[in-house]
Amino acid sequence: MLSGVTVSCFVFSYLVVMCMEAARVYLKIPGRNTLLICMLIAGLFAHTIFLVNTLFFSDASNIKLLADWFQWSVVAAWCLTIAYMVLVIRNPANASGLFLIPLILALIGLGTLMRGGTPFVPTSEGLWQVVHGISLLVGTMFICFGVAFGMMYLLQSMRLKSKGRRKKAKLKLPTLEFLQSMNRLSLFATTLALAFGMLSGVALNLQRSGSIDWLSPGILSTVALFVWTLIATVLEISAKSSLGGRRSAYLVIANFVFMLAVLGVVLVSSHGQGNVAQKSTSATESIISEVNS
Amino acid sequence: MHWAMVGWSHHETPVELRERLAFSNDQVFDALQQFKQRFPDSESVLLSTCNRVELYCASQEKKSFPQHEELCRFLTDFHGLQFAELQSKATTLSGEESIHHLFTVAASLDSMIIGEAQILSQVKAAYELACRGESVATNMHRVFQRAALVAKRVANETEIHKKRISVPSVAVSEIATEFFERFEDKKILLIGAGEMGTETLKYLKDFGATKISIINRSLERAKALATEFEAETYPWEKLYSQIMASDMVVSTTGANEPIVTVEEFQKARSAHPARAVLILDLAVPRDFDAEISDVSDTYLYTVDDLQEVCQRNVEARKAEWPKAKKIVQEETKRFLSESSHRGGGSTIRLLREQAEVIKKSELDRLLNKLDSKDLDEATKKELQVAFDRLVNKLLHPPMQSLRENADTHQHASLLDALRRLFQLGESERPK
Repeated sequence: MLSGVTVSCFVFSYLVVMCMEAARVYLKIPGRNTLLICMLIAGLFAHTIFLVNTLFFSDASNIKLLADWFQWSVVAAWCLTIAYMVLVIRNPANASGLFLIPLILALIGLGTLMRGGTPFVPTSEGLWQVVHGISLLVGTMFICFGVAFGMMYLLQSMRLKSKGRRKKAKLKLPTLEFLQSMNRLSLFATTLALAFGMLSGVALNLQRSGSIDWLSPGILSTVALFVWTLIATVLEISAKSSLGGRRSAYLVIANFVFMLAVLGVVLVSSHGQGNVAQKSTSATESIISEVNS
Repeated sequence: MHWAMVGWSHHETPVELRERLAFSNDQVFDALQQFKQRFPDSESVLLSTCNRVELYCASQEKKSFPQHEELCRFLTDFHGLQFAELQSKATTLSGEESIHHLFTVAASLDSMIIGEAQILSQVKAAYELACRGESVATNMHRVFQRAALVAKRVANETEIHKKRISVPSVAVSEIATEFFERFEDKKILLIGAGEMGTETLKYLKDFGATKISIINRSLERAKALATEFEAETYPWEKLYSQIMASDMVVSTTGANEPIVTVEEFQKARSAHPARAVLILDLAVPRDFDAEISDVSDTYLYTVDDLQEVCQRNVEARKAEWPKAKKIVQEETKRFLSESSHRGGGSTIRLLREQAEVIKKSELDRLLNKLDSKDLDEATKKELQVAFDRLVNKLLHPPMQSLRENADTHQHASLLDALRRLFQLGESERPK
């Protein structure tokens, strides 16, 4: 299906959208919002076609559904783009894209760098593997989502504090209350997703080998990330303000930094990866598997 | 069609005189009835607001149409004022200018605060009052209904109404909305029960605020205001605890020095470290110590900050002025063009009727004369067709000229000439 669609097609569209968002500072373009939404729809369409082709119609490498970093990253980027689309339609005047699109592009870039690498080890513990993989994917997406809103919160907070200089600010951002609610949402959703990821990982390991190697770098760092997000969530729940505070923004940004570190550890330690020759024919076996070493 | 407007507005007339000229609704009704008796062929609408008193008149009849001075005297006499005292400050307009002025007023381009929304409802109310008093007919219906449409067009196609320019409205619509998505669930504290606070509360209510608390040194005044806005009241001693419990604070006391110091604020805040708060300090002198704005998650706006926004909005409205004026100009021309088409239609009808009468009488006379010649029906028919063709050919050039000049300034002159040349009667002569 439309086999000519490549990564560069939608990356180009997203770059144009980002340039249009950035141009808000310098230029007043009539019909900018309509143009921006059209470009975004075009990019998302190409992205979807590419995903469908890659996930369901590609037989080049015998890699199954969501079974390598490339597929994983492109799916995460697609989900973030959908979230951005919802935000743009909700309020096209807000420059949310300046914060979300770089993350989308970074995810696609990361996937492209890892393309052709060793796929995740396929196993036969179907359900737990699916839950584990999808939970970690959702958790990562929400962390990325959170960092964008955390940055927006800090910038908006700075602008509102500086009052007199607001006249120079041409970028419109969502209200502090909305940004705060998004920060909260990302914190809570991340913690929930990581909890599911952790529990399913434990079940997966117990089912497979009857024990868990808690000290392996991949597991240890993932547990640390979960504990951190749990603490951040408890701190966030203790704050009752509608506007939240800068602390919430710092927490979601710290989440992101922590996640980058964990991702680094997982990549270096080849957590969840095996030999390319290790392939399975089971469909569920091809979901991300990180907790098996 | 004849149009006129006379009146006094904030441009030339000081408030002391405007107050004396102002009409209550009952007075407007009485004045219109008197006007109808005095000038039975004229339609009239009287617009009386705090910034203007204007009488709009329209009539088909030139002879009985009142002169500007008569109209001015009518207004001053109603209040028992000396016309001579007010004559120099009066605005008198005729024809296109008066239509243009009405559209300008309705679109809020002639208001003291350009773009304020109240004037359109005042214009509509004046028109409705005139309708009730039956002092308006087709022409006034058309022009006032069009004025409302012009105002709507200006509002939709320009940003002249979008930017608020009073401190309380800017505080709510431009500052508070950068912080909050909605106001229904926000705890809002008003410190002081003054005029500024009351106005701010009105805007907050318009935006949906429901959880309002009021603190004032005089609890009685706070309670009176609380009844009006369905708010809660707290004694002055609860000031800090209420500030800490609120999402937004509006302060408008008349205190000579800050009522909230940075030290006390920080002390109270230590119990609520993560709570962000928006403080709108609308008092002069300020109620909140300026250093409070340095406290984390505390957003303090003073009157100076808000006035800066107001000033920017005034400039933004001015920038929209040419666009709005262009719309008014276009609509005035379109209205007059439509009016002259309507007037033209009746003139053409009169001309054709007159030609038909002449043709018929001449044809009848000829046929009677030729009756002895035993004309057959075919010949009679031929004669009739010849007369018809003659009339049509004679009328074709003037009709064509009218059509070609339908949208030009010459249209009215041509119609006038046509009426005069063919003596079509004075009663429907267009201006």
